[in-house]
Order: sequence, then C-alpha cells, then structure tokens
Amino acid sequence: MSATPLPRFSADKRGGGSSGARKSYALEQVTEYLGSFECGQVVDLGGACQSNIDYATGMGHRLYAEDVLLTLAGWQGAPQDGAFPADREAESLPSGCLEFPRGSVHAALCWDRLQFLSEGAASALVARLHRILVPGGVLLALFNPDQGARAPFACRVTGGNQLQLDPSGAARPYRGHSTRSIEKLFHAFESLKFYLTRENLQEVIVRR
Amino acid sequence: MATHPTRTADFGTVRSGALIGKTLTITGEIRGEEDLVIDGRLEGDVELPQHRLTIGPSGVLQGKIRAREIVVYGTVQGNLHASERVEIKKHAKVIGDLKAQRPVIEDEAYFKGNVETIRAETPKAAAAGAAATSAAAAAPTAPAPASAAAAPSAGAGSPAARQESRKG
Repeated sequence: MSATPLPRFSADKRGGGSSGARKSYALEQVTEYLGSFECGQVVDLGGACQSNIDYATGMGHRLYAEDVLLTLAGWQGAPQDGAFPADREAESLPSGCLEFPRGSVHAALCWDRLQFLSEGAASALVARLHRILVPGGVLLALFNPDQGARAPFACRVTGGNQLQLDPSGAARPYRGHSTRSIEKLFHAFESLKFYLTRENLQEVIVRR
Repeated sequence: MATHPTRTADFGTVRSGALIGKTLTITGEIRGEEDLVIDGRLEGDVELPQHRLTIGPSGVLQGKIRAREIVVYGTVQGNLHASERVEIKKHAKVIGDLKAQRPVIEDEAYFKGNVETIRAETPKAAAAGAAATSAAAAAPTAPAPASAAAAPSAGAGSPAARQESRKG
C-alpha cells in the first residue's frame, strides 16, 4: 500500500468544501486514515451518493453503498405512533445486509442511521460492523443527545473535512443517545472520540 | 437503395442500434457489436464490449453486464462492468457491483453494491505495464499483497470472498 492520498480529499485544515458544508473533525480523521493506504474497503450505510463515491474511489478505495434504513425497514418493522418496534435478537441481521468477511472493511460511514434503528437492531448492526472491520479500522457516526423526530440526513462529503447534511425523506422518530449510551453501544471497540458540532449533534469516531 | 428508419426510444439520447421493446421478454445471453436499448425484460448476461447499453425506464435486467458504456433508467440486478462509464439515472434501481472508469449515480436512484473505479489505460501506461510485466517475469515471485480485501457480491447475492487488486 502506498501512502499517497489524493490532494482533492486530503484532510486540509483550510477545508475547501462547498457552501452549506460544515467542518467535521471526525471526517477529517477518517480521511487521514483512508489517505494512508489504497485498495481499502469503505461502507456507506446512508445509501449511494455521488460525492461519497468520488471521496472513497478518489483515494483509491472501493465503496459499498447501502441504505441500511431501507434494508432493515422490513426486518424490524416500521415505527408506529412514534414508537420503535419490538427489539430483535442481536447478531440476527437479515441475510444480504453487510455480509462481508470478517476483518475486510477499513471504514464504516454510519452517519445518523443508528439512532433511527431500534435498540436491538442498532446493537446487531454494531456487532456486525465490529466483526467486519479490520483492527484499527474506523467508524463514523452522528448522534443527537435527545430523542425526537426528523428526516434522516443525506450526508455528503464535500471535502476531506467538509460534510454537508441535508434532510432527506419523511420525518421519523429517533432515539437520543447520551455519551454513556454511545460508550455502551460501542463497548467492544478499542476507542471512541466525541466531537460536539452544530445543532447539538455529536460526531463520534470509533476505532476497532 | 432503400434506407430503413432507425428506431429510437422515448428517453435520453439514443443512437442507432437495436431495441428490445417493452413487451418483449428474453431469456438468454446477448452479445453484439452495436448499441442496444433494453426496455423489455431480460434474464441473462449482456456483453457489448465496444458499445453502449441502455436499460430503459421499463427495462428489467437480471444478469451481468459488460459494455463500453452502461446507462440505467430502469432496474438491474447483477454486476455492471463498463470500460468507460456507468450512469445510474434518477429513479433507476440497481442491485449489484459496479466497476467503471467513471461511475455516476444520480440522486434518488436506488443502488446497493460495491463501486470501484478502473483507471484509463493510456498507450504510455500500457507500454510501461508491458515493460513491468516482462521485468517481473524475469524476477523471483513476490508474495501476494496482504491488503487485498474481500467484499460481498451484491448482484449475485453470494457472500463469497474475492480478492481484487487495483489496476494501475
């Protein structure tokens, strides 16, 4: 693997993203990590998005895109009356969902998707991510501390440390996550770092 | 000499070529040396190495595609490999792995799979590659790179691991 990140998505402190984008310290760490080698595997759980494809493939990696909320919608059932459906057993994700071999993924971009899942589904997904990430691999997630309802974000990487968050689709309930509950969710991982950003959103960078 | 009218579909820019219409269902492989528009249903692979394949808004394809250019308005379940570009248009649905020099996925398209870019083979690079190959043939065998990652094959639905190296 050669250490030649492309300048377009280098973790440039000056940013260089499009208007409407915000600086993301967590994304900056992902970019630094992905810029240190080539031919890695990145998974984007927010679905396919051209700018994220350009981000990953521009640095010489493959990008697997899947909107995990769509994949798990039928499995966990749709939220009803603002409440989440009954929890499912962990480690029992539906077939076809992130079926990568153990230790074959280098970075997982979860965005805000985990907080739209029931507790059991989120735990199952995190367990699956722990299994497929390489040791030292990174996971990026966004959490709100308080519960509420809004549309999930379409998260677009517009620079090495620039992220644009646009509400996409219908509003749906999400679970609030305290620092403690996030630590509990990622208890099997090696380390966590928290960054508080605009709109009371917490960025978390987790290392396997 | 009489000239035959060229059939065109009612979407996008379509050059002369073959058209599989909306009411047609075909099971089997298609290979050819001309552009093709599929607006019907095909269960089978398509191979048009030097040409463009368009899956129209009513088109449904279940199988692998290999072409110079692939444009999808409809539904594809299978892997797509284009030597130049792949475009997945708004409202299209693709489940499969995608490999192209220039992959383009429009907003509001549904895509599930792996995206990998391939680099353009310039004559200079090809010559350098050929020189490297002949030099490597003379050198002792190197160990396989440890970085090759495996990925699920969304199109085939099989989680079989595979090793891939990036084309240089």
